[in-house]
Amino acid sequence: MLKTFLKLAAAGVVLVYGQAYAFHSGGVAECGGCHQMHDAASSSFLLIRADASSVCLSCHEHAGDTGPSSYHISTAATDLTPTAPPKQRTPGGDFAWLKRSYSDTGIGYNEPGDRHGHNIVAASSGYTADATNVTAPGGGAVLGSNLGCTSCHDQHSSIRRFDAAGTSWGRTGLPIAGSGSYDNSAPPLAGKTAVGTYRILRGGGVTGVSNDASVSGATFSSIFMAVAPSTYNRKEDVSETRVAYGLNTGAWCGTCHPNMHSGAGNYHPVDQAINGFSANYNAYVSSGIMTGTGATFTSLVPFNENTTDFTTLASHAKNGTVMAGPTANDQVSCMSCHRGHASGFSDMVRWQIENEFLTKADSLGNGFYCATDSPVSSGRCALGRTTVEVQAAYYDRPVSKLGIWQRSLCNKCHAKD
Amino acid sequence: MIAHRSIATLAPVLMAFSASGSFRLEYRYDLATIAGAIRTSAVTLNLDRNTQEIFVVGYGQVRVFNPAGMEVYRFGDDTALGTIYAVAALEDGDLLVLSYRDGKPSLLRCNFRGEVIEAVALAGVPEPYRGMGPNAMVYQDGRVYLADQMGMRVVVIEPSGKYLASYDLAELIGEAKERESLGLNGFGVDRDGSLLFTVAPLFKAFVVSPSGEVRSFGRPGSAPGNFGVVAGIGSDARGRYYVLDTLKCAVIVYDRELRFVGQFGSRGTAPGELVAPTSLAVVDNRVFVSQNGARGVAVYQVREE
Repeated sequence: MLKTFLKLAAAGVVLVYGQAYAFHSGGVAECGGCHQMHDAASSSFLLIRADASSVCLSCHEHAGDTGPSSYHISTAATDLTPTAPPKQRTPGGDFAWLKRSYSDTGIGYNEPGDRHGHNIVAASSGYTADATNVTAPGGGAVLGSNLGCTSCHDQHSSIRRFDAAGTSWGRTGLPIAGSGSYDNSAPPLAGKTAVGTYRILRGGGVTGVSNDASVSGATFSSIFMAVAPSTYNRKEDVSETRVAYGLNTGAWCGTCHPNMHSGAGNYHPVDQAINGFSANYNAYVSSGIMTGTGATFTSLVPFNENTTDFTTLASHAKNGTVMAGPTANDQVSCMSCHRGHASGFSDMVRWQIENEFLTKADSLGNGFYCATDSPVSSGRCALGRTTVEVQAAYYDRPVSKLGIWQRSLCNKCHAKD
Repeated sequence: MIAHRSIATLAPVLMAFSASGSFRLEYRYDLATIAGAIRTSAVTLNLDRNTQEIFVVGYGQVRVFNPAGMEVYRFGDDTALGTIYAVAALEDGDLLVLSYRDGKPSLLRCNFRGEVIEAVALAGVPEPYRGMGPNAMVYQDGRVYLADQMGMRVVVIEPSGKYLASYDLAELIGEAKERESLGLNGFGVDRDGSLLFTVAPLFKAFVVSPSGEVRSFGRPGSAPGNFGVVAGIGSDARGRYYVLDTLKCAVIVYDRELRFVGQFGSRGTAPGELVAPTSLAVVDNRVFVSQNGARGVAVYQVREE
């Protein structure tokens, strides 16, 4: 189960798909990894730890990490100091940002940590329920006190994909041979094997896949279609990490945040074609610089591609090499602005949205991040953060990757700057 | 109230499965201050074998505990040393401190108070070890072992910084292509200089001799002796290997021939029980176990009939 190299022999050619060592392997993992048959720690499902998310973080958090490390999605509390911000750089973000609060008393600004992401409850790692939102914002009914990793991920995932085109799914029918999440995941073998759904996320709403009700009370009626590069937890100081999102990922988020997806209120469009804004995206380099020629993708503003074909998505999930921006039929969605787990900014947005500038510059045009320790005053835009923290929140990008006097990345599409 | 518990009244044997029947671990006490047991989570443990003091590293500081388990000193909380990851005590009483500042590692020689004497520059380290990011350190017999757990590499230097040896652990266990997916969850050094480490996704612990010979033990499963999520690893003077299992909340012991000796511990908050243990240190007949969930560091004694 563990050593998931799958060798395919076809037409005399042996294709070898290298793939991350996978405890989950696209579906339900080894039972004894999470449950204990005799003398379990928890009366709830015979879990080995007190709550489900603490079980997840047994593997997905590791004290002593000095930087991004494989499948770790949370920095241990012992590694967080005033000078050491969260260390993981997965596309979903490091949950430890939830433990980072910022304030600027001079302007009366207060930003508690629980604004930075999904407040999972994981007692062993010190994660507690959202202190502000009792239920999911956007009209959701899910209680914050019930939110955990398994609210979104199905630890027993039975959803399986039967074809590379992403048109055939089921909960039974063929065995899950491995993960379906990565650009180098082996595709399903027609009539013989299936692969797991992206990140073993909950889902439903397609033929063969009944809607999935998580223990937190949400019922998922869509499938989150995407492909990640096999190396996804990495700094982006040199190149972009590109997850290729497929059509309509926002509908999946709308399970818990229905009004933000299709409610009656006035919300930013989600799962809607970018249309003419694609021209802005492709030309936009940074504030005031509109000289791009299409190779201007940034993981700070990703988008849904107009496809659910996993071969296509896998070919685009390449770090630093596939830099094409959206076409008019690609979509803006939740992930265009927000990270799935947490970010270093308010409302788990991928960039600072609390003031007009992300960066500034001195009189000679040398750029710096808005931060409390910047060489010249950042004014009110520092919002209690040091340069190290801001740079960590931007996944280690140097200022030069954003540009000087950079304004909100809303402008990546809207180009009002 | 003194936090130290009476050994006479609180010395439960960890819930045990012992293959040999003559070996067991007894809970003795938690590391403490005069205000009570410490409530740390997932701290790293380093030992001074000369003084039998133990260094508790985490939250950017180092806390020093005497052999009785009481805190006697702390340093590093002013962040002057950067973010500290490991401490090693030299024979002359000086300390080597492995820390990071602005994302870059540094090795500092400090006095026993934690005041910097000098920065230790590494000399003669070959590529690709030159750019590695060590986050664990062990000092033994004049040799400093710096381990990059994420990169699965180890460099051995003299305290002066002079290069002595290096090990590509991923290469040695035949997993170089999967280096980024694996990593070390625990690292230690045996008394004969063998490198000890655990790799959680493989459900295995490894022993690599100074000459590079590899032995491994463990397989996944919930039966006694099998591994869930392996973490810290250490050894005692008898050559027994102690492996922490974060999921099983247990200390799993193998002998020097890699035969299963016993499994000790279960999850819980009663004295001697464990909550998601992460780091381990063994000195003489005592086993120190760092836990998660603000459960601090528990100390057990090896008992043999």
